[in-house]
Amino acid sequence: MVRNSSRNNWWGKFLLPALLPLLLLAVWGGASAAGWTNTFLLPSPWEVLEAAKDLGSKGALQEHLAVSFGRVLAGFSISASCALLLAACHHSMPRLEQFMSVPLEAIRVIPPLATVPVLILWLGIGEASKLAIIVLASFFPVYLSTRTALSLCDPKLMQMAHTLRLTKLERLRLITVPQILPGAMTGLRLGFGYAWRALVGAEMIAAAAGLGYLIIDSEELARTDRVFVGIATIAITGLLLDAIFRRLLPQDKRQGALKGVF
Amino acid sequence: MKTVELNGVSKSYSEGQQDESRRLSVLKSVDLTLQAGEITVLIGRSGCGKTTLLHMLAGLLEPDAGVISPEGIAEQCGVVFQDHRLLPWLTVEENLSLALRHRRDLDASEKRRRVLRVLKQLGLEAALTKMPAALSGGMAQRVALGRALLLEPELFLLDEPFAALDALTRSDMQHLLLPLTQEKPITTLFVTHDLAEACLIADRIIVMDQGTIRTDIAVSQPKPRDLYSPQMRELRNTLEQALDIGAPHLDAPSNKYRDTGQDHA
Ligand SMILES: Nc1ncnc2c1ncn2[C@@H]1O[C@H](COP(=O)(O)OP(=O)(O)O)[C@@H](O)[C@H]1O
Ligand SMILES: [Mg+2]
Repeated sequence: MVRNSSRNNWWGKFLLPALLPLLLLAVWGGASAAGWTNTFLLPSPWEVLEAAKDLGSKGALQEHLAVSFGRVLAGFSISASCALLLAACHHSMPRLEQFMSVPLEAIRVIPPLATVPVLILWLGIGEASKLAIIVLASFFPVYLSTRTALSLCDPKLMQMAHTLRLTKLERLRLITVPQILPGAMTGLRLGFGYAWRALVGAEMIAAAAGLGYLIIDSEELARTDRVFVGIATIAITGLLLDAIFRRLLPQDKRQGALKGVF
Repeated sequence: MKTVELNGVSKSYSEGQQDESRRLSVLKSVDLTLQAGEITVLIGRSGCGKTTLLHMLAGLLEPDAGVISPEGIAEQCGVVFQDHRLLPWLTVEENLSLALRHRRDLDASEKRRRVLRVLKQLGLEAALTKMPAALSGGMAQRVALGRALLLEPELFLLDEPFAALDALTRSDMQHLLLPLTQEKPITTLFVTHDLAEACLIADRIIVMDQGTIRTDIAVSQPKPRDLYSPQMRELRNTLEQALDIGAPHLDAPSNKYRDTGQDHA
């Protein structure tokens, strides 16, 4: 039984998810080899690999990756700390939340790309406007899930904490934080994913380096193989980072109705 | 030991969220004395204001009018709620230790010694490292009882602590509570809607109805008590009359059965 279930686990966790990508890769490779594809629209897998090797050996790919990663990290740090702070403020000051609700909703439904012209006018074409795109893209997942997690906190536990004469700080650390942690962490994970996705948009603005720049620049030079290298690098790095993030997520020890929320 | 008094305590809640003018008056100028070292049992129908009264004594609610004396008694009370309110992410030991966090005068080893002693008193030694989810309802409620006792309260407040337990476990808990309170008398307010429970443990029984105190009965029989003795039967009859059990007011059914639905939860 035990062996069987562990094999099941191995199958479900690694083999099954790997199957479809491998299959698609095989179809892509087969179609390219048979000459069924237009190599300008869809270069073959080995052409893409060749382009990646070429960019890698010159160190260009690593540099683009490092620049992009730095931007995402900087932008995400800003948005995550603002989102956590604002969620906490809104939780403790419902009037402030009502006051800010309409503009906040409005900003939430605007696609960050739509703000590019305004951002360039206001912030110029330097790093600031690129960071702003990333911040706009990743703020709301963190804000919303933290805000929801806070509102789901059980007031009965706070009453209990009161009767145990816990200080304000102890109540925050021992009761509120453990209750919101799973929700907030999931928000952070989603937010990080959104930040990563906003990269190309951000680097459309007069960038000289970064994966988004690599894609746009290669497109202008008609190097579709390099476009694919850029896209694949974003995808693979995003997947890796998300896997790391998921590892860091705390275990959900909550009970009852809260169990597994988010 | 302290005698705790409520004088003219009133409380109302706003009925709608918008409509501040329509208020539900839950406690109507209640006078009540909890004698030092006595167990006062507060009994009444669901929704008659028992929890509201207890929360005011615990400092979780402010009275609209009236005074509770001695001042600051809320800072010296231990509360057992109807649900155990243990933190699910902490072990039983860690949950109990929460009650000693504010004691800067005790060192870590003394705190641990006290936690172990309470666990032993309540027969919970085996649960020390368990998570609350792994406990039965009765065990969890015993931990909650222990947590309140660790506070060494001057005023012990219990809000239907055994109502959610099955009948057998409830009876075990009642028998566990008696020696605890006799060893070291604490001024206690015990809220229940269970007549038998009231008869077993009370030194004084207060019957409440729609926010006012109807009857105040001293019970002097020694404990443990036999529920089927003539005195106890008589007490039960008196209580049933005070609570109008078996004699419905046909003219005012809506008032009498103004229930919060807690019983059916
Ligand atoms: N926070 C609240 N807001 C509005 N009404 C409340 C609130 N808490 C209790 N009530 C109402 O006050 C009445 C008394 O409640 P409670 O003190 O909990 O009664 P008991 O504990 O005796 O069942 C009930 O009708 C209940 O619906
Ligand atoms: Mg109640």
